[in-house]
Amino acid sequence: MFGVHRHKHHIHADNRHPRCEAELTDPTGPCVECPAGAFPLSSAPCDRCVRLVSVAGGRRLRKRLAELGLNPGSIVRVVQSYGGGPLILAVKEDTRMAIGRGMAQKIMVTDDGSMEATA
Amino acid sequence: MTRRCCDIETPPPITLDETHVRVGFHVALAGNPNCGKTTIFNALTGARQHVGNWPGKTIERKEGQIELHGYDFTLVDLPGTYSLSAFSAEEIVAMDYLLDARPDVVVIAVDAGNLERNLYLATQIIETKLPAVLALNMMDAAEARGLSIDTARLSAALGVPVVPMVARSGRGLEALKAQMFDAALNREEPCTCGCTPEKLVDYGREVEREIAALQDIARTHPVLRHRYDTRWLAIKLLESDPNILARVSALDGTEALLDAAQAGIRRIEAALGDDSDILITDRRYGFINGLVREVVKRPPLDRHTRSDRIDQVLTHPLLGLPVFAVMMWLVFQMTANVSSYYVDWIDGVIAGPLTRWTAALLGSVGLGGTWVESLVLDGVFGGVGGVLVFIPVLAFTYFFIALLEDSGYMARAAFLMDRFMHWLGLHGKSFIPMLLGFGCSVPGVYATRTLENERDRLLTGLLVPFMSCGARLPVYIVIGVALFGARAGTLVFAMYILGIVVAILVGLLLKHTLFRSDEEAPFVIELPPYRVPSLKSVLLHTWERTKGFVEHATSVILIASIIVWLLVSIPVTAAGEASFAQVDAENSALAAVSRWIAPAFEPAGFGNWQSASSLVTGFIAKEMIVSTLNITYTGEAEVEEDVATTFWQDLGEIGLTFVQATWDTIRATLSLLPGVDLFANEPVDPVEEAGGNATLVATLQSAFTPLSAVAFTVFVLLTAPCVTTMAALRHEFGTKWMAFSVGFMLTIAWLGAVLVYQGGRLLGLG
Repeated sequence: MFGVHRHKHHIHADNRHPRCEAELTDPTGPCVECPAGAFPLSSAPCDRCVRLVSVAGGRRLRKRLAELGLNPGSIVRVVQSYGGGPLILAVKEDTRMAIGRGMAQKIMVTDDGSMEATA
Repeated sequence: MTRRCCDIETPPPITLDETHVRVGFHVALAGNPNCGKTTIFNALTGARQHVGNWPGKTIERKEGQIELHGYDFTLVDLPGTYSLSAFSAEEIVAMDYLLDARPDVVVIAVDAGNLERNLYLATQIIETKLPAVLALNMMDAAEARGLSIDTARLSAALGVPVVPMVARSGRGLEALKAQMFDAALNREEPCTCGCTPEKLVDYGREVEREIAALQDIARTHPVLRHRYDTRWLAIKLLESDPNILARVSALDGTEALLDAAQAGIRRIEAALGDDSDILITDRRYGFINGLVREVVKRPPLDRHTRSDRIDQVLTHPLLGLPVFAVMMWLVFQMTANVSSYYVDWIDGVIAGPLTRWTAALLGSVGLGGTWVESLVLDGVFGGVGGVLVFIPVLAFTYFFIALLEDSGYMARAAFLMDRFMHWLGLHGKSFIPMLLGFGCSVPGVYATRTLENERDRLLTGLLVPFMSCGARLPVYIVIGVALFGARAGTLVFAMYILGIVVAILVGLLLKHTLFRSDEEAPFVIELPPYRVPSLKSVLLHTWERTKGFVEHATSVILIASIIVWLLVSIPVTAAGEASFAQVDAENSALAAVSRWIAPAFEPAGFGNWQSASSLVTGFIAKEMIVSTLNITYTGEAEVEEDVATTFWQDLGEIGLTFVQATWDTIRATLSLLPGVDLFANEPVDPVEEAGGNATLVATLQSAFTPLSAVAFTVFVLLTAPCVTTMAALRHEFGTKWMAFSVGFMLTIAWLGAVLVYQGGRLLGLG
């Protein structure tokens, strides 16, 4: 059901997206370059629930991330994201997990329609 | 015995016999990192525990004893892991223990406030069909957030008893003990045919079909069907778990099973379009997600927890750094400086009253002035004293590290430093051991315990001794003042920087050679919620670790001290005039050995026996380098003034100085707070520090050129760590890695010194 994206074209050079300081009223639109509205997690704005689509990486890495709760289909909320630094995510609602920005660029997500439901 | 559910033979259920009364039961404690597993362990066992390493690993193994209704229970604390998938050395250790030791009960510690992620490991363990009890820990924090958990329903769904508890306060502890006892005594060997009990997780039609097919094959194997639960085995094979694949292929007659597993994986991937191991993980989480929705009720808005709000400051890339700097400064000050009052006190007691009493005692049995007196006072006291003076340093280190860990701040410190440390191939948590290394390498090496990954821990431990410790500072100062006068400060600064630069280079070198991993480990740090640390747990931790150091380090340090004492005592060249233990430095075995070593340092510009012998004694403690230079160059040793005192005066003095040390510690601690200045600044004069010894300064000026002096300090900076650090490395990483560290550092130190000297000469500086 979830395709395995191994191609590197998902990684966006420009990730000025996160605007943590500002109150987010306007959700960031999906990336135009990626199919089906997918964009890298590194571009996801703060406080936004996103659904994980795929991880560009080796089998071992994908398995590891999946075991930590970053499995395809799971809903992740970005708690903190500043500039080029690591991101803090809310994984499985209660877990706070910091991940490197490099890794976040390899994780493709889509906007989660049911975001308010998990709040 | 044959079970009704299937027609294959299963081993009879274990009946209680004398063996169990005598040997007792084994309980494994498993759980995620940060789920309060250690607190549960401490609450169950108290101080009756033994801390060591898993055989052949640098992974901590804690074992404790408890007695329940007359039966002995041995509790083994497994490494904290997120899953049982052979991803890290810790996971393999945990899985091997569960599979090979087959504990009578597995207590699965779970953070009630973080149920979904924690249940992943729990379901994996329950699937092994080992008798299990789920300890739902930290219920207080979950309740404070408004979560309510239906434990009865959770227990029914998982098929294991669930005990809600708060290990820190002891709530639910008795219930956990009762469930442990019941599970161990009423244990019935599970049926291995997979027909019962029912499956925990439904992996979906395609996967279930393959699981059933593999179970059919595994059931016919004479060994496998008894050793593992066949359903669990089938799932692990479909996940291509390397540890399980290796275990199965090591047995005869398993080719068919392995081939079938491969074919099954191919069919699953063709049908579902994703890797079978990820699909299995996905389904497991799907099951857990449904379960958590059923049993956990949460308040409508639970987005920003208290921890999230604190983190808005503490993990902020700008605001977080000043807090981090203050925290690190405090930890460093407390371990390196504030602890020094107790260090001085111990030092004073050993050098003063204890030495006087022993001398008087030996004198009264007619051994005064003999070699026995010298052996006891110089050799043994030197060695034991060398261990004892580290106790305050380590106790302070462990105390503050435990405080940082327990409060949850350690993960934030790692988060802030990770970008910088990652560049060296290290984890963010490596920063603290490195920082402590500037005070003393020994607490630095022990602080590597906070790292979760074996590779990170070892690499950090090898780099810590390159940080210029406090004991090396007097060497730079004495040499610097003697040869560079007012510019001594530049030399000192340069040495600190050089240590860091060499550590970076060595880190990069090791990262790309010995420690090369095939795949970059994902940078993922869990940020546990902030908690008020429990004093009991912190003190227990401090006590256990400090005790461990004394137990392990004493023998090594004592032996080394006695060897050096022998070298100094044995007369070699002037055999006629000097007797054993009463020999000038020049005529001792130390001088003879040093003369033999010295030519090796010729290319570095300091190929004389005096420098070489100071390096030999520097193995015991780096601060001995200066005193040895003093003795060998000037023939003078510092003479302790002898004041005649009575036993009671001495005893009073010990008590008084202890009170003084405690008062000084409190004063120094308080003066760390801004605005509090109880601590009168006592400026330290470097020349004073150097002993104010004009003779030594003059002699050093004639013995060293500025260039060879720099080469010498470079060697002192980079050379093999002192014997206490070696003992710490051996304690943490084993003899092999200690030997590696010593050899490696000696090589680098020699190369560095030669490079400086020869390079300087080429540039015309010599």
